Amino acid sequence: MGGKECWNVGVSAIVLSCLLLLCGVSEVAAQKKPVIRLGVNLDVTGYGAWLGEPELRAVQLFAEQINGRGGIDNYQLELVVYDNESNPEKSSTNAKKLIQRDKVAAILGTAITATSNAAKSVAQEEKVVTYSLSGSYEPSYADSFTFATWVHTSGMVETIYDYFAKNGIKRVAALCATDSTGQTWLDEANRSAKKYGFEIASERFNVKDVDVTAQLAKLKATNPQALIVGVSGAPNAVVAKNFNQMGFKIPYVTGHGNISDTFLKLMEGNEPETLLLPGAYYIVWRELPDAYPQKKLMKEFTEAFQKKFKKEADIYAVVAYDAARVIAEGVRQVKPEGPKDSQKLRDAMELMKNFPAVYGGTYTFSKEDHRGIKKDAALMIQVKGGKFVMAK
Amino acid sequence: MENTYLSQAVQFIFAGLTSGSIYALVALGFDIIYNVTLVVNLAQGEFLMLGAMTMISLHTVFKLPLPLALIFSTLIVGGVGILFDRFAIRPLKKPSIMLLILLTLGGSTFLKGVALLIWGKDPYTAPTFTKIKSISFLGASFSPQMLWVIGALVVISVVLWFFFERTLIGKAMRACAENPRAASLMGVNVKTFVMISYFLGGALGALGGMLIAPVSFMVYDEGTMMGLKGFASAVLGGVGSYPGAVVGGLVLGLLESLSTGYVSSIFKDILAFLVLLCILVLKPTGLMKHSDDK
Repeated sequence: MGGKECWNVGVSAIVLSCLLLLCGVSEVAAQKKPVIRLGVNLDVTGYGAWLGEPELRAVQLFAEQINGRGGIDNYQLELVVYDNESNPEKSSTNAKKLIQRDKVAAILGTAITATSNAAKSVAQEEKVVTYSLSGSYEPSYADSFTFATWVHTSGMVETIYDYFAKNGIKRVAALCATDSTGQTWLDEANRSAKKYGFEIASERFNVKDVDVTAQLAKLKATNPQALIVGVSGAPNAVVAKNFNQMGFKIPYVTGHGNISDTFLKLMEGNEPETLLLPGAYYIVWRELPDAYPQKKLMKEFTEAFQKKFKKEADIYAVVAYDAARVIAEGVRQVKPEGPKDSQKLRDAMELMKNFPAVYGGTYTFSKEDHRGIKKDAALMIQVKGGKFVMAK
Repeated sequence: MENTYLSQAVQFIFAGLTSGSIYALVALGFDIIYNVTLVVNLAQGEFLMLGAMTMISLHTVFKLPLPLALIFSTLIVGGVGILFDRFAIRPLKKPSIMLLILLTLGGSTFLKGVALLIWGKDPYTAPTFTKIKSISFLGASFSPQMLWVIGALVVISVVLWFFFERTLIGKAMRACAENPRAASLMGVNVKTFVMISYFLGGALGALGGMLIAPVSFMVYDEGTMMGLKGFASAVLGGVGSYPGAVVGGLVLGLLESLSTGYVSSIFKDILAFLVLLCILVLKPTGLMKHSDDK
């Protein structure tokens, strides 16, 4: 090593220690109340940003609310937020940084499956509770420290089938994409059909197809009473157009991944007569009777979010808010000081029962169930006049 | 249901003709540029996406009536084709075919990026050109937009044939491809004709995109797959042959829909491309091109 390099290293060391000292000072100054640190590892930029952004807002809103009320039993909740840029590698580095350097008790995030899976192995290795907000994420189940949100697709399919059974529908057609979402839908639709005693005929299509009339013609020959379209997003436009043009009058049912304004805009003018989706109770909270136990929670959250951000809260914000609430409830019970107490936190969360969800329904966790939320949190939603309303 | 078998068959054929016509339009765009420059323009699919997106924006944001939006969008994307030639292709000091093809690949990524900035990731869809919801024929039903697609393909094929076989400009453009040096010695301005070919390639791609937008949807990266299918059609028909592009596109479309209908929708792409491989092994010059064409 040359003299100059030595000098460089020396200077940076001094600068670094000054910085560290400064940090230490400011920390001491802020530490009037004991602090519990919660890591947030979210996809705030990059292609997952449309999820990560509302989710981060909801978590910030939650921290502000709880600290405003004097914290969790006098403990202040401190958020340490890192953006993983929708990049799996960054996500895993962030998780390590949060645990090793920032000593957080638990981590919230991430927003998409790829970054969640990257953080999963870190969570398991370090034994720190990590609560993913991604829709198609599977927490690992053996001695798991990972938690997941959203009702699983199997629960959503059962919600649809309950509706079918109620309306006397027994012959079902399924048109599923060849991507992973479509595969999950096909598997779950077939599996549950057996349970419900439905006849099911299925076809596949590529999300890039511009015409699916051939598949629909084959399905039509089985004389179905309803069509399930297992795909998220834009390809629904192609299927719906072909569906209308071939004169189908049966209900058109598609996945919960389509609950968005983009979907409504896309389907405008091409809606099938009966367009249904399974989804969270929160989507239609304004229509719920006041007796619905979580309605008050939903209303308070929506209004607080609107007030702080001047924006309507979406279901992604709700999911993040719920996850933060669940963690805070666990924190209240065990007061974890850092990563070393995360196991206690997990054990407390696994014992939680009937914790009301803003999403709808309740969370009841166990050692085997780290999702906690079941199909009673979902109902059938119909698109009517460009809006999501409760299906009759 | 009476005569299900027949109505299904008709439905499969219509489905194949619809996607096939679009593939054919993209393939024609490939062939025009190839015939003048010997370059396979890998940005052809992006022209299609740009055409559809521009038309939708002109119609919904600037409130232009659909026919006007269609004309303007064709001209705009044709213009993008010219700019593409002027700023990406022509400045090249030592153009080799390989280098040019790589450039068009870069162009394709660039156009996709620009589209992402302008239109974002949201999918867009357009209203059908005619208000009728669907047409029934022999128990099968199809969208009236399909008639537009097939009609446009027929008209464009005839116009192109007339242009290249019967007009002086068209003949001069063919001369550029045969032998650029001899053509320029005969007073043909090769550079201008290369530019015209990019304009036509862009305009044709745009037309394909605008015709397909009402039956499907358009996203910033939707062009790539279309470009690939169009390229496959061009190869199937014989690169550089206009009738070949039309036949290639229709054959590919029909292969896809018939294998969906009579075999399985999972194997659709596999079967279609397997047949394509077989045809090319048996007849490497493509369906409609004779080896003595060159």
